[in-house]
Amino acid sequence: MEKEDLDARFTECYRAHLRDVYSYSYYRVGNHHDAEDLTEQTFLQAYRHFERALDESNGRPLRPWLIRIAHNLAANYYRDRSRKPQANIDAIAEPGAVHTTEDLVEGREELRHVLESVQQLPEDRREALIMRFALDMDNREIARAMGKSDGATKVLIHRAIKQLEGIVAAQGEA
Amino acid sequence: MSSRQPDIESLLRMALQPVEPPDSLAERFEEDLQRIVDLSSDELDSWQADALHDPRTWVKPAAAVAVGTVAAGAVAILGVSSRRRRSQPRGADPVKFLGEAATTISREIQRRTRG
Repeated sequence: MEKEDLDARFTECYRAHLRDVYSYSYYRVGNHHDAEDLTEQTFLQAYRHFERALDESNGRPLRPWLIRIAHNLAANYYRDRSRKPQANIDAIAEPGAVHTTEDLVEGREELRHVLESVQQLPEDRREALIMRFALDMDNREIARAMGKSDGATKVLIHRAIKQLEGIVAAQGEA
Repeated sequence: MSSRQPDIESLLRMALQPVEPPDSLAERFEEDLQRIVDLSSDELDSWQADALHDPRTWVKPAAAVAVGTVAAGAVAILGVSSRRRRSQPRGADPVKFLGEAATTISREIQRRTRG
C-alpha cells in the first residue's frame, strides 16, 4: 500500500477511535493528563505498525487492536511508575473537557460508589467492564483486545459483574 | 425494591460514560506524527552538518540515510505511479510502459550529461 493511502487510512482510524482510546485510557489511569499521554503513545505505536495491522486484520475492526496497545502501555505505566489506578469522581473534575463524567454523575452518590467499587476489582475484570460499558464493545471485541477466547471473556464479564454487585451491596450495608 | 433501584449494569452504563478527549490532544498528536515522518530528513541534515567529523555518531545518521534513500525511492516510485495513473489508459501493457519509461529516463540522463 502506498504511504499516501496508508496515511489516509490511519487518519480515518484515528478519527474513528480517538474517543474510545481516550475513554479507555482515562478510566485506566484516572486523570486527564496521563490519559492524554497514554492516548498519544497508543496512536504513535499504532502508526508504526499500522500497515501490518491492516494486513493481518483481514478487514476486521481495528478497535480491539488499538485498545490492546493502550492496555499494554497502561500496564507499563503502572509497572514503571509503581502507580495505582486512581479513577474516582474527584479526579474527573477537570476544566475544558466537553463531557466529563463529573457532569453526568454529580450529586449521584450511587454512581460514585459504583466507580469506587470498579476500582476494587482485579485488573482484568475492571478492564473488561470498561470495555463493555464505556466503549460498548461486544464479547468478541473484548476477547481480541484482551487476548482471550470468547468463552473466557464471557465468563470474565459475568464474574466481574457478580463481584461488583457484591461490593456495592456490602457498601450499602456498611 | 428492584423497581426503584436500577440494576448494576444500568449503573455501570451511567457511571462509565465515554469521555471526550480535549481538542489539544488532536493538535499534539498531529505534531508528533509530523515529527516521526520528518525524523529521517532532520537526522540527515544533522549528519551533513557535523556528524561526518565524528565516526562514533555515524551509525544513527547512516540509518537515517538509509531511511532517507528508501523514502526518496518511494517518492520517486509514487511519482512514476501517479504519472502512470494519469497517462496510462486502462488495459495498457505495464511491461511496455516500463520499457518506455526506462527509455525516457535514459534519454534524459544523456541530455543532462551532454548539457
